[in-house]
Amino acid sequence: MTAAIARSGAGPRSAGEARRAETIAIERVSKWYGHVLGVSDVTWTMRGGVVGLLGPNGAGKSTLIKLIAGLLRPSRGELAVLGGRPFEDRQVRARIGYAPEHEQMWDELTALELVRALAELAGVPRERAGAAAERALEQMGMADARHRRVRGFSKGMRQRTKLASAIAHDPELIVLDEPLTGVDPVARADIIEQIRALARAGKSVVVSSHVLYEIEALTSEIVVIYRGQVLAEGNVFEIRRLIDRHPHRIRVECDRPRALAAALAGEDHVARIAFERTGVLIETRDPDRCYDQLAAAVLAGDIAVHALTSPDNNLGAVFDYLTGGGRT
Amino acid sequence: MNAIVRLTLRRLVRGKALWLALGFAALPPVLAAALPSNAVGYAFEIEMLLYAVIPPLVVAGAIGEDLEERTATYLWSRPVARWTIVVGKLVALAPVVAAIDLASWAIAGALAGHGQPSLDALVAVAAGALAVSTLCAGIAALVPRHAMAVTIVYMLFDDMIGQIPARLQLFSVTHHAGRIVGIGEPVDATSIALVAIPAVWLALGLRRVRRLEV
Repeated sequence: MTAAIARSGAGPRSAGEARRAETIAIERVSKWYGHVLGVSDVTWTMRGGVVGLLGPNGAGKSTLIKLIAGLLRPSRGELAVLGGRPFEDRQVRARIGYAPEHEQMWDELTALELVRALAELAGVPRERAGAAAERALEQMGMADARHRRVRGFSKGMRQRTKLASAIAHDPELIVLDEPLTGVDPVARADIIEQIRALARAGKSVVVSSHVLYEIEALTSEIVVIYRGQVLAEGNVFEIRRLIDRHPHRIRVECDRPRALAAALAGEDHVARIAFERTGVLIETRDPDRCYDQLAAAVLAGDIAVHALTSPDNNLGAVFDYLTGGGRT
Repeated sequence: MNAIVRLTLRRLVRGKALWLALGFAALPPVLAAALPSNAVGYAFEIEMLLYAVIPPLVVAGAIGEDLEERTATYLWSRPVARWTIVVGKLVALAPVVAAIDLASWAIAGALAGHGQPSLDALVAVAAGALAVSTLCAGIAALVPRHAMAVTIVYMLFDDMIGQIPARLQLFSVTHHAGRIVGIGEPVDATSIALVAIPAVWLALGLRRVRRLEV
């Protein structure tokens, strides 16, 4: 099953007009690294707002983000960002703010020096770059640490500094590659709020993540990427519904697996129960209800549970379900 | 370009490369002071060898490390032509390399009892340092990964072929630099070669960097 969610948007007036109106227009783009495929035949249009690129590690999200940021050139197909080709067109890159996935920065600089230098390189005049950098760092909650060297920064502080460097020159399109990775929950909520604020201020934002709930917290518009291809695009709730429709596996290691299986066997959401050496594997179409009933059965039957895991708790397994590759 | 020059110099001052370069540059003066007067020529041989170490350390290191450590993504996603990043770093760092080499040469000469170096000799040392820096920038842009190691090996090879008494030595930048500094007989083509060889490498490097993806 591919491209299950209807592609959004009205038909273009003319190819040229449509391209100018679109923030990002990707048409049949492929990118190879030698013999390794990064993205394959991707067609996608973004008109604004916040869009989440969702996919497991190695799916091609970073390749797509780098193509949009002008760091890579498509091997095939057409890619237009803000009406131009970002790899070749410097004027387009001036209107893009990019924060990479990796943590490496110029550790010998302070946060303010780093963000100011990058703002200058992005075209902010030297006399205004300092104020722009201060403002961006303050917006990302880094005002107190702005005179500290990046070398001593935690993962979360590095993420905030990267985000500040992406917005300091006031770009129209902000492209963030896994901006919530390694961030503590408080900082995560703060960064999510900052990204939402950017969208409210009229910026277009593309955010990648391999964690569905991170994307859900940011936007309802998502593009699902898997094995270098756009698997689906549209509303996150549609994707969620699609995922939930497929059986979700729960493995329970306990002392009395037969009693537990008996308690759940009659439930309509349970698709299959399999006994294993140390417990039981349950396939359910309604994980929330199943977890509730599991808890009730364990309490009622006085069952000792040693471990409770879900083999489906990574996006790769879920996508294998969606594409039919993971059914065993 | 100015922003890249400022950024490069700030990083140089805060980083380790400058201090390592200064440490290497201190060797010829130390040897000139320590060796007996009939062996002091060794200090100047080492001076030539510094060409093989300091520009790779400072120039090639600065260009290569951004690609090796992926920080090039910050620079290349900005609206600057990719060649200006390489040239900006060269413009910032080549004078620093020249100044270090000059100081080392002049101090070693004074300690060896050679008196004040001539203006011609100082210009020649500086020209050699700038030429080797340019060459290193070109090679680092061509082979950004492990740029420092590659350029050191290249410069050691360059130094080696420069000492072979055959036409091959005409391809050695250190050979030409040595000639105009006064080691060996001067030749007419030296000044041209000192410009042409690094220029070819830089042109090749900039051509490559224009299409490089990160």
